[in-house]
Amino acid sequence: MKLNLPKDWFIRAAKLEGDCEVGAGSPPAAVQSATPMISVFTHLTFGRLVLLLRRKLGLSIDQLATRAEAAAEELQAIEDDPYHEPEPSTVYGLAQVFGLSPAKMMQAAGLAVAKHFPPDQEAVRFATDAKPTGPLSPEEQHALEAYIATLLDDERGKR
Amino acid sequence: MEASAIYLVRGADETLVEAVLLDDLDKLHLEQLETTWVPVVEQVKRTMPRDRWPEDWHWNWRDKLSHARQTFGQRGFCIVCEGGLQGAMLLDLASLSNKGTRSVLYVEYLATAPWNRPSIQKPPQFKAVGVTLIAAAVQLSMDEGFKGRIGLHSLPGARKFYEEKCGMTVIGPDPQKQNLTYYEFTSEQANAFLAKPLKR
Repeated sequence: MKLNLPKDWFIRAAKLEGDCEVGAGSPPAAVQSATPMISVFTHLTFGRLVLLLRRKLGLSIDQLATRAEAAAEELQAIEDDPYHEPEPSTVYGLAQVFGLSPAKMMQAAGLAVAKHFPPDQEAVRFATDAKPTGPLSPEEQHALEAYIATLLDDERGKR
Repeated sequence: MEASAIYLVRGADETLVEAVLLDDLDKLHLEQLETTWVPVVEQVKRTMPRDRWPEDWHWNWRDKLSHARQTFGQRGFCIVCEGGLQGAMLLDLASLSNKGTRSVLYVEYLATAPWNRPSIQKPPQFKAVGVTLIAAAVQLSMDEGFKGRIGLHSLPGARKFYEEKCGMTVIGPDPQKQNLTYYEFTSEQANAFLAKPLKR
């Protein structure tokens, strides 16, 4: 389908649209059971964390599943599907493999409430697209280290 | 995937900006939506009272797209400008006119990026995103033999836009959709809209 409209059409459209909202679709009551967007972003960020840490260790999904004593399908879902809620036992196993605090990993996975969760900007930078395999690029390495440092800041502050 | 050259208007200085309308909504667009729109919505939810949250805060676009891919006659559209996803829309060509009186192309979902909504950011980053998506729906309706007729359920906060600005016909509250008001463009209204957007 091609939309072919002159420039002045868009100028008029913008002027007259004014401050109106334009959304069309389903109201909140229709989908109260749907996964809240806030969780989606948390899961997306956690999936990227797992993916990058796995690649840093040079592990395949199956190898990570063996080490974390988790199902490979669950790990694949964590990395690929932001609407998938991770199992606590899997997150605990991942924390052991990656050498991170289980409590912090639970917070990062959205399974526990963080007192000081990493600021949004850090999470946004971190939650960019990443390849499923291969060594980390310098940018990915930097993003991973920065995110983990922010994640662990609260814990270090207590010491 | 077909691309149409369009224009948006930058909110800060009212200048025209080149943009692209794509008749597709794929995995990369979905990821862009999840990594850029969601954090802004999350921030709004944290800092504003519930009655000022975006009315579509709960929408699960991944489910919507997954359903669309498995459903005959559903099409996705999006607008990209300066590398960012500025608006998205899902259309249903198979849902023929049980809502109105004649066959229409039904707008399942339409949303603009949070930063293009005056209720969240003033001035919005880009204007004319919503109007252009409606124009795309009208054009597809014409291409598919619906003569420009489209139908949609407006979110409560957008009724003024569809009723007063677009001049769509009010069919009325729909009990099947939590009493959202259902609107339609007749063929004549649709043609007038493309020729010269907006009623007032």
